[in-house]
Amino acid sequence: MATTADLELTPDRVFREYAPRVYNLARRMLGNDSDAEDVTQDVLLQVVRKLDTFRGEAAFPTWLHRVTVNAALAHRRKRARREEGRVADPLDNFDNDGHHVGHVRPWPSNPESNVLASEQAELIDKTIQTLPDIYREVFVLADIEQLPNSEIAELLELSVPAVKSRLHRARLMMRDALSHHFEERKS
Amino acid sequence: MNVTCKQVAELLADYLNEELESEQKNLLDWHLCGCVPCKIYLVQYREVIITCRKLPDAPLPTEFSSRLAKLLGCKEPPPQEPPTE
Repeated sequence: MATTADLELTPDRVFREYAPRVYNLARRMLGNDSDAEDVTQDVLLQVVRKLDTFRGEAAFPTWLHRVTVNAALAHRRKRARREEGRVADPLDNFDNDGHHVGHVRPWPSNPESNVLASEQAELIDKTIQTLPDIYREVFVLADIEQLPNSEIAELLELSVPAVKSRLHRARLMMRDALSHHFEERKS
Repeated sequence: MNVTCKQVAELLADYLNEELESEQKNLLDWHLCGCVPCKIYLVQYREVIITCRKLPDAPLPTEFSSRLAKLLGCKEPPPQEPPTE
């Protein structure tokens, strides 16, 4: 059973147990390392200053998650609009009759293994970074962070149908990008 | 009435979430029975969702980790290894 000492939040414990989580969430939401470092630093400094408030607080991870998401969103709003590469509309890969243009080939390996190979994880992380901001943040919050659509809608000030629509589009973009990657690797 | 491959792609999320009207679901089921590219497309769409759920966190970059530890006044060395599953 956990003792009070086990539950006590210290700067060391916050750094050791939570810094990678905060950093990865920020990096995935913002799509670049430098912005993620800024957000991680701001969030953790804020946390360490308020540690007394959270001593033994079971809801700390949830609070920290929320603070990180809000900090990442605020950071994106205030930063200069990044030049984004154009991502093709996945629904352009169909002809006028609604058929697939080109072949749809199976991927070489099944990513549904229990442990995600580090190379594969890196590929997926890189692919997420190529998504345009508005799709990436919905995708990260829904498919990686597992937040319900209603909560994402609240965080992003969107309607639930808009969240669902962006999420679907983001997944199609991810599928296309991963397919292109596997096709290129084969050739 | 038939659905096209493009319509299947547009409806995949609702299909997987079982949010389609039964008539529309039957049309998609029928299409997926006979269309290999759409079957592969569906499997890959689902794999994107499943795979991203277990995406591990990468370790902090070394230089940033040292800087952050110093800023937070930590005595312990920064974590270097990604968490294991």
